[in-house]
Amino acid sequence: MTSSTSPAVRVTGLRKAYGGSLFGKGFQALGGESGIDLKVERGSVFGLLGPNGAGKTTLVKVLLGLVRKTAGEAELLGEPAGRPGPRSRVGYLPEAHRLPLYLTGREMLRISGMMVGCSKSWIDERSGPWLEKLAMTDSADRKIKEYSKGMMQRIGLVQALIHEPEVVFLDEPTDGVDPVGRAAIRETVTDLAKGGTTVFINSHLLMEVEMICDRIVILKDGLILREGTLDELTPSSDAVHLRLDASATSAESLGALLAEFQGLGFPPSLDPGELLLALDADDASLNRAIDKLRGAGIAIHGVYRERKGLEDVFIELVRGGAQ
Amino acid sequence: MPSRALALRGLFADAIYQVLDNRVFRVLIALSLLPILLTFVIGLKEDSISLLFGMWTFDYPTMSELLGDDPRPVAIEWLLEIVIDGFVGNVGMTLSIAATAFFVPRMLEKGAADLVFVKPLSRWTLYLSRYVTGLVFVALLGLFLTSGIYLGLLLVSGYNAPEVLWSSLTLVYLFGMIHAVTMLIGVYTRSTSAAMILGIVFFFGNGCVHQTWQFKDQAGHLLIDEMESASKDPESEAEADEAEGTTPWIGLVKGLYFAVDCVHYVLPKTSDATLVNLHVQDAVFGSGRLAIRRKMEEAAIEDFNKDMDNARSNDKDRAPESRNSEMFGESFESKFAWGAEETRYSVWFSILSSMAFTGLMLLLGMWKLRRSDF
Repeated sequence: MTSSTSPAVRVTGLRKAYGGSLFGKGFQALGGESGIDLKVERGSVFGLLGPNGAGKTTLVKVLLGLVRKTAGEAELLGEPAGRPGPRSRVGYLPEAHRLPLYLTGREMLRISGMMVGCSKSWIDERSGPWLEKLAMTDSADRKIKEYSKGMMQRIGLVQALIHEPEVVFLDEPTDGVDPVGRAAIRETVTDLAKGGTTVFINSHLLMEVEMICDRIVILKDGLILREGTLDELTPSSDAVHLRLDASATSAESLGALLAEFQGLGFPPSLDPGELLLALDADDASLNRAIDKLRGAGIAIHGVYRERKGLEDVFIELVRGGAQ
Repeated sequence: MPSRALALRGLFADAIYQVLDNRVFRVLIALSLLPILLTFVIGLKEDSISLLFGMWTFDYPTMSELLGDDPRPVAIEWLLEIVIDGFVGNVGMTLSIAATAFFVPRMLEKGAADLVFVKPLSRWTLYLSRYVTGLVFVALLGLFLTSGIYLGLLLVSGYNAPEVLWSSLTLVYLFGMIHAVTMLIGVYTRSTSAAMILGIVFFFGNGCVHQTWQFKDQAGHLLIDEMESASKDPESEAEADEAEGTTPWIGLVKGLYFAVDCVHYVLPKTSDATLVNLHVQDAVFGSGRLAIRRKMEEAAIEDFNKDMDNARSNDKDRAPESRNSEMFGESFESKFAWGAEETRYSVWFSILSSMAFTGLMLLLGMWKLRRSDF
């Protein structure tokens, strides 16, 4: 049953095993013994993280019908994954893709669009803004074999988006792209999400995922280790850092305040070179500390609460296994 | 336009771009000019043969002994046999296999397959589209070749033979059988080289099987007769020993004949393509080419038999009577009659059994593709 209220992706007890014959045991690529469950709501930007061989690409390929599942259920846009129907509403930029080198960028966009049922004129009309956005207008009529890796990645992204899909799967979208190109891709993904398109990103670049995804799953050995929003995955701690104005801060007044903070129960540490004051304090204590600093005439340049990065959480999880 | 039609158009356009970009295809186009050139360079006039637009002119008489009173149609048939059967049917077919062998392996390459199979088209549609594209490719090439040959004959020899154009369809028919095999190899191996090499080996191997079968059908009984007569009624002890040694070989030869029969009937009848072509041209256009071809083969066999009889009469150790006149006799008649009475020489059996084999190859390819992960 197709319904616009159904999630973009729903996976229940999904497993994929490769090989397994008289001559070999094969291996379990996804889902282990029990299978994995996953739901991606429409309009979200979903990040799938995991070390190499975690099963990220396998999961995407099962959803797109490129790989046959061993067990469980997988649905794409409310229909069983693998059926041609929902694939016309899906865009896909595979990892290590091989675009047709014998075509120009524009020809490739036309042919790719026609294969999902769009007319040539419709594609031509829509390709202009996309090419402009990803800085490919000047190269669109050159053969793809003349493209750099970053250009291939950008034109590959355009082919995934040209037919205005409801769900876009991007496998390592910024792989080989320069910082300016990466920013353009990030901006594109953000715009897609604003327009209601569901974006499913597989990436090793945790900072990218951190910047654009609103829900993240971490996979390892084919199993889900952790799932949640960025806030849920990276909770903030009590540690607060205050950057003080060195020119307006005398050593005497600072020394007296540090002793006072010690007495208040949130022991400080000070990096004298940068005048970076670190406190272990909740919000109320922090406000009191700021009042004291300001009262002593010490100017504050910045305040930020320490938070574990996604990379720290990822490394911890991957090294330590499921928590 | 419905989206499915657009999708198929996209697939077709993709395949055409691939072919045009292919180096083998470019070589093929260049080579295609050679047989066309031949029909422009050799002018087969009513009473003479002219070379290079009349630079040299030769009379027919030296050939008329073999070709009869009206040598021109036979000479033209010879030219067509060399150009179409020989050059286009063998060299052209080999290059066509080489030019299209990459269709499936390239589609299945890692990274490329993801982009193709994610499209909302079933795998069998994708597979069949590659098959049809191959046929269209050869049809266009064949049309180019036969049109050139037709024009060459018309303009230089003054011989109007529109039926020659029909040969392009025969090329498609022939290529259709081989292309299904090449694609199947491509699906299993995912290698262009393997698909190309094994496709070409199949094409020639298949031709050899049918030539062997034809030879067996026409002359195979002579060997059995000879072996059986040697094993019966030995007149001396030496002959009895020889007969004892011969008997098991008769079984082996019969077994081999049976095997050749089986393989012949199962495999597509690529060697029949020329005869099918001639029969259709006779039926549709009343070309009379079949009769001319028969006359040519008769003359060649007669010549061959004469040489063999001469050789035997000079060999004192051999039996004086000759059986060579029996060779090709009955079977030769069947071959050119191609009546429906005998299954082995029925046009329809040849076409239908070839199509059944081709269909089976396509089904196997689609089955494998359906079960593949990318």
